[in-house]
Amino acid sequence: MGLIEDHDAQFMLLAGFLIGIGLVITTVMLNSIMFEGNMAIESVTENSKYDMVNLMQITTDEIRSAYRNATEKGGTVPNTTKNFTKQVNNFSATLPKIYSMYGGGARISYENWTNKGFANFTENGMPGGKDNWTLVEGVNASSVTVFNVSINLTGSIFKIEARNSADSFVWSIEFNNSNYNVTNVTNASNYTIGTFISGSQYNLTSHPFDFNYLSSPVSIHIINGKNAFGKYKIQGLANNRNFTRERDYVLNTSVAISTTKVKANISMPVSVPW
Amino acid sequence: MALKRIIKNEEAVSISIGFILMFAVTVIVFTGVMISFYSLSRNIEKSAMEESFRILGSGLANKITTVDTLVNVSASFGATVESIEYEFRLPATIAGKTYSINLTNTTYEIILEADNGALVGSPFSVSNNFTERKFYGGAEDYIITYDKNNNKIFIDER
Repeated sequence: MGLIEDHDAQFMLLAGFLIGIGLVITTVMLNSIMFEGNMAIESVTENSKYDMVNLMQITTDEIRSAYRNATEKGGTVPNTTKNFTKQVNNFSATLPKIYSMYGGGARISYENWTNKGFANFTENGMPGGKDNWTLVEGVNASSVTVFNVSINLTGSIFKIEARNSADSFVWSIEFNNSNYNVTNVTNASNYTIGTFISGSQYNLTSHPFDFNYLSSPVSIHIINGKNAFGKYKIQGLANNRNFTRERDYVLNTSVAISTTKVKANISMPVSVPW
Repeated sequence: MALKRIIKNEEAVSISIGFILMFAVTVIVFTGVMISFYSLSRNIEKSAMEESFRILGSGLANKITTVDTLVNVSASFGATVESIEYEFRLPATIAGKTYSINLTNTTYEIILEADNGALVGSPFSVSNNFTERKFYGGAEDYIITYDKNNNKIFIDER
């Protein structure tokens, strides 16, 4: 009663302060509520591109591995393709199970090399692939123990060329319909002509090719890759590390992936065995 | 003594005029509060839209880049992308207002704009061709596709 009857205005001041503080709190809260209410966006991290890249990489690795496992001990084409098919089928049957664990799907289709011709000497091995390309860089030529090529020409000229670190030409072998011409700028007798036999295997580390007598390091380039098809294999050291580049066939493969938001279908030529 | 008399003199006090004055002051203060609150809410709506546009724009740029990256990564494997479909959803309205999305291939920017002046541009980068489009709100479901014959990335409504 005393407080109500007090005319000294302390109660009014206190009430005024309380109302003021209440207004400030209400305004701040309303501000936050209105801001949050107007925000209608969700933030989502998209991982599908990594899934897709992983799928392409593991499919490539698995097909190469299956080819090497099937062919390393030799054997007839029906027997080797049977072993290849067994391994890749096992892989393709497991893929959907892995991807279904997080609501996605994956599928691959592939072919084997029955009745299949050798690959083109283009970058991806396909007839429409890149014509002039680099096979390997930083090669220590004296370390190259294997450099074999089997070539069938479909055009006039096909060439394999080595360039030094200054990108200057140091060695090449050029094939035409009747001859091969070897040019070696580090050798006194730097020009050799021989008879080219289509489909024959040439060992480019042996005389008169003498690739492994070059000064290191060199990069190996393929010129006019569309004009030839066949096989190649090169082994040695590049940048002081072991390397192998080898191609017998290019197997057409397709991979398909679907997640909740992304569906993709990709045709992928896989060069085997490496 | 004269000063004390003036202070205690209540002859000029009018209860009616006092009430009118109090009422007028109350109305003016209340109106001021209402006007400031209204402009505050307008500003909040605009800044909320701009913040949403920023998130939307960067999300959309990320999606376009994802498709572009997939095409490029496939090419690095010597592979060809036969088809890519990337479905996504955007809100038809933000803060109760529709907005437009302008995807340009001249400056490679996603420009989101609303009538209340909220405007945000998000840059994106693609190495494949990109078809420019403008969408005027309302739609919610969109799709990004890739045309392998023309090497082009499209965005369309579903």
